[in-house]
Amino acid sequence: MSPLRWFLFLLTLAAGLAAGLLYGWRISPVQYVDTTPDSLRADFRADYVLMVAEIYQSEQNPQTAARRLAALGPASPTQVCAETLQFAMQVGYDPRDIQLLQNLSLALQSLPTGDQP
Amino acid sequence: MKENNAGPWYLLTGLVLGALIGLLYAWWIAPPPLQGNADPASLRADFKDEYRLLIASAYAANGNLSRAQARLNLLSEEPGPALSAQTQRWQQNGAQPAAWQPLELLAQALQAAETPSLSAADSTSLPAALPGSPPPTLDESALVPPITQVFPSPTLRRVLPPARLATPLARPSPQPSFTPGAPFALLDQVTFCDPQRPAWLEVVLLNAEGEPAAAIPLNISWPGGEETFFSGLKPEIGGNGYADFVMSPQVEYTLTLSQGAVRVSGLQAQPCQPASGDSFLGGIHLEFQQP
Repeated sequence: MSPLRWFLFLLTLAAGLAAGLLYGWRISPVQYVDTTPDSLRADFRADYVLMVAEIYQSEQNPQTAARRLAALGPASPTQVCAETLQFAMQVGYDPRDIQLLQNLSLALQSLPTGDQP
Repeated sequence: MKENNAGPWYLLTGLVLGALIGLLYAWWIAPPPLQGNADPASLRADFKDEYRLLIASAYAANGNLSRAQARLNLLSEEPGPALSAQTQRWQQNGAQPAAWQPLELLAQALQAAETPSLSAADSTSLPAALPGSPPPTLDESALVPPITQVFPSPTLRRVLPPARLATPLARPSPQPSFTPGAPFALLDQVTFCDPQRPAWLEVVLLNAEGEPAAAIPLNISWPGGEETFFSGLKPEIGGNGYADFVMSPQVEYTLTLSQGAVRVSGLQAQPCQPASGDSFLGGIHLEFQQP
């Protein structure tokens, strides 16, 4: 093949590669199944923590709240809640929801270290 | 083969080969990382159960049905049957009632909310965001708050007055005594002065037999907002037909129920002046019964 043909071949190869990557990463990415809560996307994760905060506001049981937050990974519930609070403020959660998260965060901080799962 | 006879096929070959390599890389070699990309619908079955319980418990805590419904929609399933199936499964497995009662309560509330939405001409009996709300799949491009964006005016504090936050999680009777179709009639409306319950709007609902009516949606609106709450969430306070709401100072509220057939307007907390001490806002007690 002439150099021009090689060049055109490589050009179309690169175009095909880009199209394949675009399709495989953006248009139709791999769908995961049977996932765990710690792999949730940041916004879903934040809503998970908000649910725990809503329940805590009614139950006033920080140990139970900490146990629920343990599903979100190895980070301590205090850290999980603090990260969520930061996220919530960044993206503009309703002030009432932020208040709930703050209440939960304060309650978790008051827990003895041994009480956190 | 001579180059002249090769034609444009080599270009097509390059394109197809490149696409295959790209797909192979994107799907098998370097797929998007799972961590931080999963959605609730992809959770394993047992985690979905926990997620549903969390939604139901949050609903039992704040009474915000719209929010619970938006969250259930994230699981990409029919909420009612899924909740009922889980309740039955857990009951059969001998789970404690405390574990499945929130699920049952939420299933009942969903059912109660669906009934008027099918027949009511008055849309105020349900939160306006419910029927036509965008699918709560959240914003894929920007990480926005999922619920506050879909339902911009949840007022959790009104449902959960600070004075009662310490009360244990309360649930209505598993068998609500709601008689569909019969609108409630206002029996009594009185104001009261109780410093322990400032600016409280208390509602008691009774069915035709005089029994408490649980899981009845009540819509309260005020200039610039509205909210739906339910009877029966605090049975330890006023029985299964009881519901309450904390009013803001100098705001006039309108309460509607029975698909908008019953409407009580001009509800406003009035100041009370005790013999000693500071003044505070008084409450309003409303009692309804089905004929």
